Amino acid sequence: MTPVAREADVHLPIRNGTNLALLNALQHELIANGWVDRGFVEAHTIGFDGVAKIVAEYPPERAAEICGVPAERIREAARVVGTADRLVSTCLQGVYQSHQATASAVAINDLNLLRGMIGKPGCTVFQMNGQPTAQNTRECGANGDIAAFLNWQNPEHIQRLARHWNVDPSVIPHWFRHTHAMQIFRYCEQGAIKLLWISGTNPAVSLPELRRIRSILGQERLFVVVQDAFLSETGRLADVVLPAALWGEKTGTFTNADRTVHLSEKAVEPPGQARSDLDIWLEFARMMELRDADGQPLLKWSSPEEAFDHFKRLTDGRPCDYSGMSYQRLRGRGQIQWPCNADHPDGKERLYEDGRFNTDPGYCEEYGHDLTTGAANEEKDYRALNPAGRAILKAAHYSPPHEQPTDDYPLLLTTGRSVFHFHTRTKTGRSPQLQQAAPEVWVEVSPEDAKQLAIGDGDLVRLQSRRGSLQGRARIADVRPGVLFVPFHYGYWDRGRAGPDGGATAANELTITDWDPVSKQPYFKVAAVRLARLEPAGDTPEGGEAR
Amino acid sequence: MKLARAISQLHRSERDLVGEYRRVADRHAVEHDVYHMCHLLAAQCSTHAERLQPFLERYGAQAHELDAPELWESVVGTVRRTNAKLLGRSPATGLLLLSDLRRLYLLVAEAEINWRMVRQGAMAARDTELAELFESCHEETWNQLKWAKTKIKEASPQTLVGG
Repeated sequence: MTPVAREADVHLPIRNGTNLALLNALQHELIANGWVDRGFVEAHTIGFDGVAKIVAEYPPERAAEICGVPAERIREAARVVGTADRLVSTCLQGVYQSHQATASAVAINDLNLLRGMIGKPGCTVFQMNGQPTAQNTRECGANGDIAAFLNWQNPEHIQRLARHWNVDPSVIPHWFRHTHAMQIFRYCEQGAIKLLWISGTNPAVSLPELRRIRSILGQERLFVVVQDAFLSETGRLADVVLPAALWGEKTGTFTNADRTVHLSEKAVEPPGQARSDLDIWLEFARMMELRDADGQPLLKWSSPEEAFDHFKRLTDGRPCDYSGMSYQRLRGRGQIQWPCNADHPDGKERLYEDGRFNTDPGYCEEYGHDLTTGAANEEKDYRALNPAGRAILKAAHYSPPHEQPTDDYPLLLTTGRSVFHFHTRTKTGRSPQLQQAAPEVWVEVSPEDAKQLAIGDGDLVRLQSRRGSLQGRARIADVRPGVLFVPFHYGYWDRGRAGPDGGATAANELTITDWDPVSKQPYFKVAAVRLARLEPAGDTPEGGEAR
Repeated sequence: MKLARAISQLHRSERDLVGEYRRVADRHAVEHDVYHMCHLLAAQCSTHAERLQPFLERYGAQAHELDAPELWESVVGTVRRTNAKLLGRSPATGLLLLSDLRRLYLLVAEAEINWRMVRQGAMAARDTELAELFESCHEETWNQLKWAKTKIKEASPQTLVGG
């Protein structure tokens, strides 16, 4: 049980991979009990009838059966949501990295929209980011989306981007949404991609099914460049490693999930040969002789501030409008929330106060998808909806996760985090206090399962899935019977290796190669495994407690 | 009534799609998204075919069984999956996938237009139950068509030019 769950008035410890069934039941209850703000829904949303039709099939009893929690508890949770005077909803990887991720995240938006609780004090949705800088990478195009929330299917947006860079629109790949990471790895596996440049991330520990990932990165025919601050597991599989500077060793801005922009100044020089990512990319662009339409260098600037000013001009009039910001203003004010422009010179604290949403066809970032298949809408599909600044309510049916427990693999694994470590410990593992607080991997087992398998607290156990195995100490914990939890931080860099030598410790040895059809985020929260005791508890020191 | 024939054709389309989705899933077992989605869509088509059953009886229309028995399919499926894994590292798999997706798209388009015909017939015959069946199944078929198109648009650039 997490610290948050301990504080909860209603805790629903649902079976992994069943978020959507629960969220459909909550919407069912809002509608059945008349807890819907009809006036708001009528004036500011579209799609209510479609949602009502789907969620009508999810009375709490049905969700209770799917999710494995009592129907009465689901009703209680619905009452909390349905009768609250204010409602802030938030979610993170437990939704985004579990089965039917996008459909579930959308259902959470629906809850606030159905209750008309958005754009007012105490009424909002925080769709959180998994990493501190995920918001700004998304806005500036580094996550593969087009910068400034421009729409790849909108020819005018592509023209605008082309003018901004002074290039021909045909050099901007806009014939399909960007190729996502899981597909890039598949193309590398196929041999269709021959050069892979990995910057600031550690897929050899953080992607699912690590044996597969290592074997793809280790191919002779694939040239791998890794650009990172530390020599990670992925770096050990690279043909070329480019040491990169960390925050504090370079200047740039960060943007929070609540749109607050901060300037982070360089405090010290990067060590050794390390250079900032920007300097590395600029040097690469210079060596490649990248040119604009007039034959001039594509990148006409060299400092972080110039890059910021170039980017902010592109955001003028877009939802993430930085046009009124500058390094000088950020230094003076400390922080500014976008949109920051002539209308809101000091930024804007709250969005959607007037009940208008960013859904106009010429303005929106995406035309949307079918939540079940990920099938992309085209412009004409979207225009036919006629959203006209109204929010789009959407729903999808629950479908069972792709991997179910069997006789051979009777337990369900979920992976996650410890409060002491960030991602693959490349930074936190080098902080002695944090490393000591949670020095090694562990496996959380329910008392019921532990008893049945004769496992005691601290015993060395072995977990096995169809894809790999892992060894760690068991922790008898308050998890749902039939479910195991393993933190995913523990790779092999501190043993000087790219992969295991004997007992593996990375949770992603076990996870399944599978991802959400819309967001393309891998599913880390549902995998079938079996558990066995290897040896009794030794005197290994115990680690931290949170996940 | 000729409507019987249209219902029978639609039933055949859905049955054919069950088999075809499963074949494509197994043939491309290393394309993990295709594998899982095709099995989900096969289940959708199977439900459609089941729900058409009472109407086949109502109109005395001919039913279509799966074109191969389940046991045979499960044996062949294993062979296909193994094959997929053995060939998974070859760039040629991209072209095979594209051609399979193209065939799927055409089969779904056939099912989609068969639904339209049955719906028109149902309206004229004042068969509200059959018209309601269209309402609850057709959107899934329509989304299957959009899915195949999306996948084809995704796979074409890399396969035809990059690979």
